[in-house]
Amino acid sequence: MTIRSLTLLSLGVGIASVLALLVGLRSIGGVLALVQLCGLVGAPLALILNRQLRSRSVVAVLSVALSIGMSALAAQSLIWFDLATRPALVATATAYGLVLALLLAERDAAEGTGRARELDA
Amino acid sequence: MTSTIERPAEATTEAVSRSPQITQSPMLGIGVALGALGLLLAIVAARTTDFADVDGYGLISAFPQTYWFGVAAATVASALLLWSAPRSPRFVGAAVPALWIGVLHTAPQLAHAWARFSIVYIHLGFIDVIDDTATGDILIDARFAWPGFFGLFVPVLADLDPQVLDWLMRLWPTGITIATAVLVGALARRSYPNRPLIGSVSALVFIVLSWTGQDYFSPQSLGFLLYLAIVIVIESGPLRPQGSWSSVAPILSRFATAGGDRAEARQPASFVALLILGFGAIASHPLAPFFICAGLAMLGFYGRTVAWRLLVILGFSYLLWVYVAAQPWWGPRLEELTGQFGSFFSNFESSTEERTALSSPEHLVVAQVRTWVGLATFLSTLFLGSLMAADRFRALRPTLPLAPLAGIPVLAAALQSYGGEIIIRVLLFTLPMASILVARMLLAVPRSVMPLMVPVFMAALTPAFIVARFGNESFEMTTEADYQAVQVLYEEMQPGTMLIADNSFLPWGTQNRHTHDHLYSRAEISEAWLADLQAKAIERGNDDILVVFTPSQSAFLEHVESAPPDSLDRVGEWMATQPGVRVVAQGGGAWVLGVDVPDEVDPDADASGIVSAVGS
Repeated sequence: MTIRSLTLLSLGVGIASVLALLVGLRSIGGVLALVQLCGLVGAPLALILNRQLRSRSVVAVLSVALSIGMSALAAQSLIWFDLATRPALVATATAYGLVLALLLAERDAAEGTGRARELDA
Repeated sequence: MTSTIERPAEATTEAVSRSPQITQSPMLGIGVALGALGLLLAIVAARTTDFADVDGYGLISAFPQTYWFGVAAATVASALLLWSAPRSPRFVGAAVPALWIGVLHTAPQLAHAWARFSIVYIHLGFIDVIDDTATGDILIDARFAWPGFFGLFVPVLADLDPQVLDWLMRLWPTGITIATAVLVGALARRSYPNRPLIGSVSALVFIVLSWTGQDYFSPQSLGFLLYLAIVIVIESGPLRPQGSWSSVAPILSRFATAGGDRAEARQPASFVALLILGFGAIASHPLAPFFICAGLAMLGFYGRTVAWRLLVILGFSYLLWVYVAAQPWWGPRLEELTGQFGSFFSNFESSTEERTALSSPEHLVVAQVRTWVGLATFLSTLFLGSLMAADRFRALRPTLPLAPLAGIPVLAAALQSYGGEIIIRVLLFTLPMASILVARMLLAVPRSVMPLMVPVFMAALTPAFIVARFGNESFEMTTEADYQAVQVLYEEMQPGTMLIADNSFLPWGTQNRHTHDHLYSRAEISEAWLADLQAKAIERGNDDILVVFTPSQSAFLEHVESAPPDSLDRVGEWMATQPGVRVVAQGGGAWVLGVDVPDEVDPDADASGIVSAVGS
């Protein structure tokens, strides 16, 4: 599993969930939202940290924690503006995760030195 | 086993050692089989538990013997698996904690008719409010000042089938326990990189000491997970030679220098992750950010510069959040809240003695077991911290400042009583690091004894765990009668209906929190009390009153308030004879009663004792 494939998976599940919620397939949308908001949104970032964490189980838990943390922030920002509808929540959390994954993965790839920097510390 | 509630007339409702090589493989296989059997027995026992047997001691009185056979099988299985650990360290390291999570944390959750603990249902109601209004209202409940946790579950849970939702709520504590145990194990491995099995044994100690019950579907459970995730990300750097910071703080260094100082992770991705985890906590819970900031300060003292940077950002954001987002709630209560500031002993008392002032003898035993287990955890942390500070025992020092991290949460007790729950929250955040220290001592025994000693430790603590963790089940469980009474209440409710319960131990609040206030009033066999209810309804402009009494509410009164058994059943019987009162549904110790609202208020009526759940 690569960061790129996880990012694409998150995008796909996010879109599918939003569409399902919009057309009224609430059960399917809800299950997809569960996977997305509680596991996938933060997965790319967790995988970037795999180099230093060096533990699959910790990366998996961190993926859940980051996903829930990011989704909570998305929910909070929408609640501030009275816009916390189901599709908007999934779309915003997905967007947060994607933007961060793209920015950090790009930087990680450009430097290619995450491990070296860590050892320099 | 279950009780039902019926409407009168037409209405009805409806869970290392190297032994001789010749025995290693069979031991692993037998261990796995025995472990599976133990888990199965525990689950079967839980599902066949008779609620009628749950008394003031909680589940321990009601569990059939099968559960204890399951515990015995899990104990023997753990010994066999640990004996096989040198051959399959990864499998054993995961399997033994998983087995005990299943036996101690999952199985008891399956013993109830519906998911346990009334607050879970209130939290589901907050999700319903956000789903209906696309926002949250702090004047409905103070917890809407931190709505991130509830908001994120709107697309997931709002439309779920009640049965599926029920199973998700039952399994949430297991999920949280697995996730936090994984992080505790990882922190243990980083604290003692050269000790085999330290991760698994630390996770085991954490599992059996984790009786605080804060793992239910709640922002607190998430805040705790985020706290541990923050520590693990900070502590993911490599070890570096000792001396950089420890020469600056020689006293502090006595608690954490074995093998060198740990450099914190410095990747940009790490810092972004830390910010997300920290802000996720700030948006979701009022107390978790305090513990996170306290932990960051302690890590900062131990040379983790990233902890200082993060502390400044999160600390400032946390204060700003409280000042702005929660102002509508704390504004009118400022004097009351600040009055508790610095009152350590008073806050401690409100978490201990005051909570048991009127307890039944059984509930007092449960409270005492909790106190002793908690006290033993605090004292063993203090003892082990002091021990490792001595030069003679420097080999026990971890690379993480475990004892200081375990001790710093105590500061929270000086802030406020947190509704009498501050000590339990302090203990929650103390447990992970304390568990690692205790595990290190367990691993100090000879290797030939360890595979036996650890399972015996688990088995010996299991009864205390069951009493401390599930000792309040008489009122924290959700019986069929509890659940059905609330369903009838919501079916009968009309716009303008005032909802009344005696206390909060019922599964209500799941819907219409924003349209119908859910109020509490201590029920009495008294016409004056009925008049008070009517006065409150007139004052609020309600044209009807629905009162709900359930067995769990009665059990709370019996075991915490020294009321006679089934006291609300008697109030219900009396109310049914009063003019202007109609029985909507009754059965199994539960009552749903309608009370007419007259046009004029009784001049002697006093509605001030009828309080809303707002701000709870």
